[in-house]
Amino acid sequence: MDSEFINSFRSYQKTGNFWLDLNPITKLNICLAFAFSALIMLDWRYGIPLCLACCVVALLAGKFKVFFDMYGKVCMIVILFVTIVRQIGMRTGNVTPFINIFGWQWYLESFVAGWDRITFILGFSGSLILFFATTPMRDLMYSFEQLGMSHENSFIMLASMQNIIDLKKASVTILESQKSRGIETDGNILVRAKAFFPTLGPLLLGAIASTEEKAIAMDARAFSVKRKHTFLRELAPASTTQKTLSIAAWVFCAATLVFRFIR
Amino acid sequence: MAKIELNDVSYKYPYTKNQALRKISYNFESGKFYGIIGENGGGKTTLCNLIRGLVPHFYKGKLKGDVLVDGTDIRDWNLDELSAQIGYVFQNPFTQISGIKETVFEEVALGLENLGVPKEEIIEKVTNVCKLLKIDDLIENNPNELSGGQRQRVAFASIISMETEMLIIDEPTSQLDPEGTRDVFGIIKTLKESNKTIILVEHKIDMIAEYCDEILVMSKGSIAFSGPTHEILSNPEIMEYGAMMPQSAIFGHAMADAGKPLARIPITLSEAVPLVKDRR
Repeated sequence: MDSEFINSFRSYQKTGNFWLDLNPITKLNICLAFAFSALIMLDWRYGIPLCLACCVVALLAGKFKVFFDMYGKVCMIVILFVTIVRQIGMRTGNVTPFINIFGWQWYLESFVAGWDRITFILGFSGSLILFFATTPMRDLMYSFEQLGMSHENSFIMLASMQNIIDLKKASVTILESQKSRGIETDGNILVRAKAFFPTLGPLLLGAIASTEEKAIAMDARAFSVKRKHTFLRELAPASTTQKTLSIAAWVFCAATLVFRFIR
Repeated sequence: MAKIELNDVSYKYPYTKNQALRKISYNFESGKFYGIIGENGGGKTTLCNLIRGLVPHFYKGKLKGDVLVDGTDIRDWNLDELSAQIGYVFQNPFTQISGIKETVFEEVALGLENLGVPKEEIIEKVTNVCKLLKIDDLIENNPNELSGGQRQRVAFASIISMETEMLIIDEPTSQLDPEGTRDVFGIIKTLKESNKTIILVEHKIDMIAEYCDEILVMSKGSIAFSGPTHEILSNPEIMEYGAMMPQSAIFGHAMADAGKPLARIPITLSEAVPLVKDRR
């Protein structure tokens, strides 16, 4: 038996990475403060450095792939959506033609006008995605429990995450079994939809049936016993330095608000 | 005083016409190992649910008669507190994994965390149980990605680690190979030796014959036969109620039918071998 692994529970969980080892609540405070500061500033000169800073922190935390998998998609959607909306809303007049796509004239001004919006949305979402990419949900729930959240709510959050994975697996299994019975499941979107929708019935019934057994299983683990729970896996409480960091982040956020008004 | 007393108990699940349990009276004594066998749909799992308090607290329905656990009526027990007294392992290993823990070690520790056991004690107990259940090579694995047999062992370990006074085990070996089954029965035997009360529902009759003190044969919601293991499992009438007889007992009866009876009907291989030798 791996004694190093077992001994790891005897002390606070550490990875050796400064950002990852921050208490989740400290991380949440920092990320929220910077996310809101992007909303307040609404300026590409603030939004772009914030996006880059999020990428750098993710890289230093060794979670760049996880971060960018999500952030890259958000970037694509936001850039396309905002640019198109701005382009549609562009009034003709004193405008500079930029590109013509199949007869649809795009103007330079629409790009410029959308730029601030795009960068503030990306700055805001970057901070939040950074938080979730670098904070395991179980750590966040542990911290909330320490702050007084009930373990029932914590369980619901964590179990829901696992349920999504389980339902996806079950859906694939049902589709595979349909396929083995000769039902066409591959092809164009109509064929796929025709194969997929009938699987929802057994999928939902299976989920409901397993919920009952899951409730009994959790009951067998004394889940609802009215006693103070202990934790095998513990995180270090936020140190004075971390608390100072949280406060500093919110002070910075407030400072951006003041700066915005006096500018 | 009996650990569990059932007196003229009948039970009907909600929205059903037929009774799942009919006029059951039986006393389960502390420290004994009971085997429950019988046909599918005969009421074995419902009886387990009743003793565990899930009937009527969880399933509701209509319960008649007296069900006393440590002298207190089951209706007066708090279901949550009962879970700290009676451990329950059931058939389906896929729904017994909590889904909120990322390693087997943490999964096994979950019940102890809920009971508020100090961390150092949790580590010690979980380490010992993992060794006992031979899952020590799995402790760092994700419990949600284990095979059915591995999950069954993890679920079993999770309940054993809680060290409840009584255990109800419903087909714990349904996903295990013969070696795994033998291991699990070995563990159940160890638990019995530590004076725990055990109720086991199982179809592997040869194992039941080897380890149980008393047997209940259930059919159509009633107890068709009950008594000491040898007496019940050597009785061919139990087969009319959907229960199996051990291979050794079938052999013993076949020998008798062939006019070459053994000194008595054996129910285990270790009992049969000397009887056959003596006959020579």
